[in-house]
Amino acid sequence: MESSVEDSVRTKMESMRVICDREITINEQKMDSVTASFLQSLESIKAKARATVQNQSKLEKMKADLRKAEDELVKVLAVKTRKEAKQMATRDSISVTKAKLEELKRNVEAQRARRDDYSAIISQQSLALATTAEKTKQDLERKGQIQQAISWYNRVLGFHIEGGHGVRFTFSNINMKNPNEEYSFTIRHADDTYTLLYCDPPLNDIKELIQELNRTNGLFKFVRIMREKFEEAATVGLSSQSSTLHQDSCTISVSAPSFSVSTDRSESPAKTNEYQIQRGEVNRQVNEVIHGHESPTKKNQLHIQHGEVSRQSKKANHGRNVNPALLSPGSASTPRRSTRIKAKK
Amino acid sequence: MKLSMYASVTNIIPNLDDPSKIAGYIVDRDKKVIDKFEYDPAKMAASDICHNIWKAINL
Repeated sequence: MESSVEDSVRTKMESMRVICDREITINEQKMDSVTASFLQSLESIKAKARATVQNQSKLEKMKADLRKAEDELVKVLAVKTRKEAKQMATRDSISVTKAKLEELKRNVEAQRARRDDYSAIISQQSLALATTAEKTKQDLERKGQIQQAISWYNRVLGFHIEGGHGVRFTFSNINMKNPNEEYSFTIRHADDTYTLLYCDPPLNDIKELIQELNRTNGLFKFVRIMREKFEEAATVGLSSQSSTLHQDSCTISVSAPSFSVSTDRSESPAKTNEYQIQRGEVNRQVNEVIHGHESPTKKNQLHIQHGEVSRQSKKANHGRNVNPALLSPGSASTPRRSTRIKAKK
Repeated sequence: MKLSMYASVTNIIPNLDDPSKIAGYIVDRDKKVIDKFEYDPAKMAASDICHNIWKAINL
């Protein structure tokens, strides 16, 4: 019995041993396959590890590159920001400049408009100036021509006209012996009346001539007649100088029928004018010479001389007093001179 | 004005074209006549010319 149990246990053990062997083999196969698989996996893992290492190094590089890139990016961003700020500033500046430019354009337009206005004004003024200059030139030429013509009358006709208190007419070339001797009279027109202010030498029929002048208003003809009268007086003076000087002294003694009347108030206006000739404003030079130291009677006598006698006798009496010596034939032989020249002396 | 007075008194319009001659015109407005005159100062004394012209004026 114990053997059987032993057998059975052996058998069981044997079977179990076979099973175990079988299982060992299987497990060994499994172990081999697992080992192979493990080895394969290990190899794979090793390869992956190597790849991973490589990848890690690549990653490190990439990280470094990335950091560099980030730094670059930061720098670029900073530059970009600066540039943007600069751009903004530039834009502002451009807009300000544009505004300034617009203002300057407006200013330029305004200045152009003003320049055009000024140009128009300047051209107008230039035209006006040119016109004025032309007119002035013409006026000067006309004045020159007028002066030339007046000089012609003075030189050729011995005829001078001077304005002042009245108009003074002066003639030369009257006396053939002394062409330079001047004969003159001054006439004034006021209140529709002509007044003789001065006459050298005095003429005996001057009163009638003035009356005629006031009646006819013919001044131009009067001037021509006066010249003729001066010529006549000069001729008479020359003849009396040569032949009748003695008569002069006789005439002086005649009482005054009055060319020089100074008190007769019943005379016509023309005559009144002649009083003015005799009185004051008239012919001051002559009056001063004549009236110098004379008595009234003598004055009248002298006026008679002036009025009725030749200039010769007048000249004889131009001294301060009536000097008989001046009336002598001897004095008559002295050369005839202008009253004015004598008066100055 | 002054020139007008000269011309009106003398009735003369001087001709100033030739300075070597004394020439001009005597104008008679009433008769509407103009007389021309011309003198050569080299051949005649100035005083004679003056007298002649005044004589012509007073004709």
